[in-house]
Amino acid sequence: MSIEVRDLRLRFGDVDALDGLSFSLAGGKIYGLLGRNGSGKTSLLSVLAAFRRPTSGEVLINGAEPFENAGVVSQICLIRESGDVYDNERVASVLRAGRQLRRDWDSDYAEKLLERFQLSTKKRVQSLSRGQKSALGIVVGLASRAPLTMFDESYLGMDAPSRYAFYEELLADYTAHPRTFVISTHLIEEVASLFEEVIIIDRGRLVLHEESDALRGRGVTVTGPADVVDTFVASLTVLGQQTLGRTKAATIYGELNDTQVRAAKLAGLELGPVALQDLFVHLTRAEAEGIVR
Amino acid sequence: MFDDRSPIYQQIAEKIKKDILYGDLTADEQVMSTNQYASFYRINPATAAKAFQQLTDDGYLYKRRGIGMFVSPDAQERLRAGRREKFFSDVVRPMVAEARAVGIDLQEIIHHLKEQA
Amino acid sequence: MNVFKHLFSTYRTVYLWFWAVMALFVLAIVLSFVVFGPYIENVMDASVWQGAAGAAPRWFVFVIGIMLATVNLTVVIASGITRRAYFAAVFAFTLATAALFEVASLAGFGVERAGFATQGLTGFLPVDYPLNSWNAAASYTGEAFLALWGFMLSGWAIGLLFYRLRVWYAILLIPVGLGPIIGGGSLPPLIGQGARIVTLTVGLALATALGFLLVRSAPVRPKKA
Repeated sequence: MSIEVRDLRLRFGDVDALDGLSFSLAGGKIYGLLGRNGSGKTSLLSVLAAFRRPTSGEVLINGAEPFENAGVVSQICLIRESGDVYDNERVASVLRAGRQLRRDWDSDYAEKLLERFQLSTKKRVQSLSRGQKSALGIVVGLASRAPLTMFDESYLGMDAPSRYAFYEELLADYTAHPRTFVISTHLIEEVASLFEEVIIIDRGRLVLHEESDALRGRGVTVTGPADVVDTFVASLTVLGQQTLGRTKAATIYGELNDTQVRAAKLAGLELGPVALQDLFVHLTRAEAEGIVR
Repeated sequence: MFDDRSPIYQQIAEKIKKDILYGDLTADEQVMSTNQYASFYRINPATAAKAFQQLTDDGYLYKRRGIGMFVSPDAQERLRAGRREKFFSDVVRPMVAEARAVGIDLQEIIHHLKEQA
Repeated sequence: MNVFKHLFSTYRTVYLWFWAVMALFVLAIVLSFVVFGPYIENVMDASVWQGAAGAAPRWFVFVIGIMLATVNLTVVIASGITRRAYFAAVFAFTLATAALFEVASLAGFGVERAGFATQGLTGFLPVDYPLNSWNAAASYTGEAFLALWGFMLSGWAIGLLFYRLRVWYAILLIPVGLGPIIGGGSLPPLIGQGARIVTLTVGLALATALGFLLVRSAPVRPKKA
């Protein structure tokens, strides 16, 4: 499902959780929503899922406002960290609720996923561990088969084997039943390869919307004598810099062309790659300091 | 499996090319499908597809509708030709530079290579 | 319809338990008459069921009403259901619950009366005993039904107040949601049935309207950790 967000604002008291956010997604892909804690990820997802009404601005899901729109919300599933299920009931009741309320619910698939994550239908939700609760959220999210499925930091407390099981199931089910996924996270390294595109937000604003794979190799570190580095990066987008004695390392955003690479080598500068997580840290910090907009 | 220093699709393409070059994938052999690749390496299918697209565009793989992707008969030869061209610039020159830097005589290298061969 | 079914299947078991306990209670009364004979001589208002059925189910559905707001609202809306559909389902579900409970409570009267009859004690039943005449049955059932429905909606509206608003606003607004309880619980001895029915109906309408207003734009907030 396509998602269009225009100048979206969401205020809580005197805090702008979303501050004029705009972007548009074509749909049918797995999107990563990245941002630091408190950057507005959950607020954005809540508005997209019609859990909340925005203060101002517009959200269009397949061209229609989702809030109180039965045709749209029945096609959306947002799984939050807190898990919107009956805590006092057994896992079986959670599945029953999915069957009764979700338009595209697949009971057989839900059973299969429960087995994969080793969850018993007889257990009470409140007796589950943090990781098991997260796994239950993943079961509900995947078995909903909603055309727009969103997971908000849904892997919390899950151990590595369960997280990998999640990634594998996500990819397998996405391949078998193509639909739109939005997955929010602040742990990038592990999940970045799952995403086709990423959206980075910070302080309720868009920092970047880019093909995930293109983001790799998008950052370059330039290391060398301080004055030479300064001259070289003068016309480039510098995300951050560090100095050690007379040596300086600058992180720049964007790919260098052949001429620039040659010029750097001639000037005795060392060029190096930037890891995705570092690039993310630099980008969100740069956003806060107003270097990139 | 993949590092995050360059796009994954390039890393996949490079790996397949290497398999062809070293003969692990032979002419007209079927390669893994995009989806198999994606689930095996836990990556987005679109990323895997992009790698395969690049390899078919470059003629190293060919598609058979409804069946899958196969290694082009001339793929290994073409890769060899390409690598041969770069062998001296990419492999030998850095080696010579390193040898000079650490003080190894060229004669010594030649002697060593002859012994190995 | 699916939300209604969902609510029904969620509460079916507690409903059954509740009525099982109530059934035990009425059977105990009947049995005591069969075993001990007419020990209630010279008592005019001898119906125990009338007291029990007039209080316990009302407070029980009041609590279920609170849960419809505090437990079900978030889960239902988070499952891709609109607030309107949730409201409609709650309206229908509370109505159906009131009707079902009323039928069960009439059955209880039937059993109690049969118990009295085995000992020839029907004369000890109060004058306005619901099973004395068709008229009495109709007037009792009508009012009791409204009260049940009203109590449930009242619990729901008050639950929503606390879900939606800051605690002090919620407390201030409680009287708006309490209409049915005032009309159905506290006033009966003081005013006539006509006045009671009017208060109940107005209270019911107020609680429903309050609930509707609170649900209309309710956010689905994350649970407190």
